[in-house]
Amino acid sequence: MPTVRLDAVVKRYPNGTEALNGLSFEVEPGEFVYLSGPSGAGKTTLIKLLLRMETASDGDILVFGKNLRALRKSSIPYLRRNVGVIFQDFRLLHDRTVYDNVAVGLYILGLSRREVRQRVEGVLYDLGIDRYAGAYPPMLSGGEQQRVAVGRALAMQPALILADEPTGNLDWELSSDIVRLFESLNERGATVLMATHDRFLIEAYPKRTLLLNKGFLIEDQRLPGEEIEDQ
Amino acid sequence: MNEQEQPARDPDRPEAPASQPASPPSGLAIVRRAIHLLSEGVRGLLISPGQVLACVASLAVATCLVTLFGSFGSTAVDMLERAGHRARVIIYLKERVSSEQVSELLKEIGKRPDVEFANYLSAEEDRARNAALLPPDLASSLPPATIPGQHCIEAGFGDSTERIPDVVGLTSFLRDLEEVEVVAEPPVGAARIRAASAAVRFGRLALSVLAALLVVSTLFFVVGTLTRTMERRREEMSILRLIGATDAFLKTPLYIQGILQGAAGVLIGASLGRFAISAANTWLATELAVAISLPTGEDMLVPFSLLAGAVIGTLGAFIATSRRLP
Ligand SMILES: Nc1ncnc2c1ncn2[C@@H]1O[C@H](COP(=O)(O)OP(=O)(O)OP(=O)(O)O)[C@@H](O)[C@H]1O
Ligand SMILES: [Mg+2]
Repeated sequence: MPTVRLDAVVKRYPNGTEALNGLSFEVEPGEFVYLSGPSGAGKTTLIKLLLRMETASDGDILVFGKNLRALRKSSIPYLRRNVGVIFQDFRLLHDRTVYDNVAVGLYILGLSRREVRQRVEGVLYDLGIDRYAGAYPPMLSGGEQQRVAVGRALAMQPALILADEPTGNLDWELSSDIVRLFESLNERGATVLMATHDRFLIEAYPKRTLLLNKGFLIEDQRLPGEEIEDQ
Repeated sequence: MNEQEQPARDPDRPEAPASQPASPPSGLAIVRRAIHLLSEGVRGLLISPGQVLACVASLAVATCLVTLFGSFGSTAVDMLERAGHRARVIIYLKERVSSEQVSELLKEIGKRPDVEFANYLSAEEDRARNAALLPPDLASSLPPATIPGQHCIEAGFGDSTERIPDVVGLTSFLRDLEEVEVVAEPPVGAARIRAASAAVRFGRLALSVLAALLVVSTLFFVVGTLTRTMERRREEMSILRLIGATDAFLKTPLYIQGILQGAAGVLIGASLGRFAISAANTWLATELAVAISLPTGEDMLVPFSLLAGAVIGTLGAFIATSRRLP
C-alpha cells in the first residue's frame, strides 16, 4: 500500500484558480521525494491537500490507504498525528520555549511527562539544539528555528514527513544540514515529501523528483537507484 | 548504502507507528491530557489578566447583588405573606341568628375561592379575642363586661402570593347576607393588602428579571475574555490543529478558564454578599432592635458558588467557542 496516492486530483480554489490539474502519482513507504517546480506550480496546495487543510475538487487522495474524501472531520486530527509537517515559515509558538514547542505534539498524543521529556531531550540533542531548550524561538537564528520546527515534527515520530520549502531562506550550509537530517529520518523509516525549487540542492542530493508546473505533473524523475551521497 | 535499491525501511515502523493510535486514545492518556489542559486553562487566565480581573470583579458584584436582593427579597416576601395570612374579615352576626343558620353561612362563605377558612366565634370568644388585642395592663384594669363581644364568623384569605384576595368582593357579598350585621375589614385595609400582595409578586418578578440580566451581562464578560484568549492564541490554535489537536483539545482550556473565572467571581461575590447580610443583621438587631434575621445561606455558599460559577463558565465557553474556534 503506497503511503501517498493521488488519482486525477484537481484543486480549484473558490476564485477559480486551478492550482492542480489532474495529478496522479504514488509515493511508496520509505521513499524520499522532492516536489519541485516554479512558483505557483501547486506545491503548497498539494501539501495542504495531503494534510487535509484543503479538499480536492476532484479525484482521490489516499494517505496511508485512507481516502481523504471519505475521512470524517473528527478523524482529521488522527491523520495529522501521523504526518509531520514543516512549514517554510516554521510556525513556531513564539511565547513557548523551544522545549515546549517540541513537546506540544506529544501532549496532544497524551504521552506521560516522563516520555515527553525523554523524547524531547533526545530530539533536541539529535538536532544539536539541546542547549536552547529553555530559549524562546525569536531569540534563535533562522537555522535554529528551522531545527525546532523539524524537532516538533520529528518528536511525534511521524510515518510521513511533509516539508514545504524547508530550506527556503537558509544558506547552503544550513540547507544541506536540513536535507541530511531528513535523509537520516528517512533511513529510520519515515517517508519524506519535500517541496523545494532549489535546483542545486536537488543536484547535490539527488532523489526522485516530481516536477510540477501550473498544476500539471510535468515529469516524474526517478533515479536508477537511490543514491546516498557521501557528504 | 549504495547497494540499496529500495529506500531504507524499518520493519518496526509501519505506516502508522504504534505510538500514534489511529483511533481515540486510552483512559490514561486522557487523564494525562486533562492535566496538561488544566495547566493550559490556567495559562489562559494570564493572557489578559486585566480583563480577567474585570470579568471576575463584575461577576462578583453581580453575585453580591443577587445574594443581597435574594436575601432581602425572600425576607420581604416572607413578611408580606405572613401579613396576607393574617388578613381576615370579621363578620358580626345579628343576635337572633341561630346555630343552623350559622352553619349554613359558614358553608356559603367557605365556598368562595379566596376564602381559606371560616370559623365561628361565640360572643365570649370574641370578647376574649378583643381583650387580647388590648395592651395587657389596660385589659386587666377594665371590667370584662366593658370589653365588647358579639358572636361572629372569622374568615381568612388564602395565600396572598398566589391570588390577590378579593377583599372588596367578599365584603360586599357578606354585607348583602341577611344575617350579617356588620363586616369588619382587616385593620390594614383591603386596598393595602391588595397593593402589598401585588408588590410582592411584582418584586419577585423584578428580582428574577434583574438576576437574569446580571447573569446575562456577566456571561457577556466571560465570553469577552474567552474570545480575547482565543484571539491571542489564534495562531497557536491553528498550529496545534495542523499537528493533530482535536476540537476538544483546543476547547477544553477555554472551558477550564471560563469555569475558573466563573467560580472565582461567584465565590467572591457570594462571600461579599453574605458578609453584607450578616452586617445588616447585626445592625438590625443592635441599632433598630428588630428581630429580623436575613438568611445568609452560609451552608450553601461554596457548593452553590462552584456550581453557579461552573454553569456560567461553561455557558460562556460554549458561546465563545461555538462562535468561531480558530
Ligand atoms: N487560497 C487560495 N485561493 C486562491 N488561489 C490560491 C490559493 N492558494 C494558492 N492559490 C493559487 O494556486 C496556485 C498554486 O499555488 P501554490 O501556493 O500551491 O504554489 P506553490 O507551488 O507552492 O508556489 P511557491 O513556490 O510560490 O510557494 C497559484 O496560482 C496560487 O495563486
Ligand atoms: Mg508554496
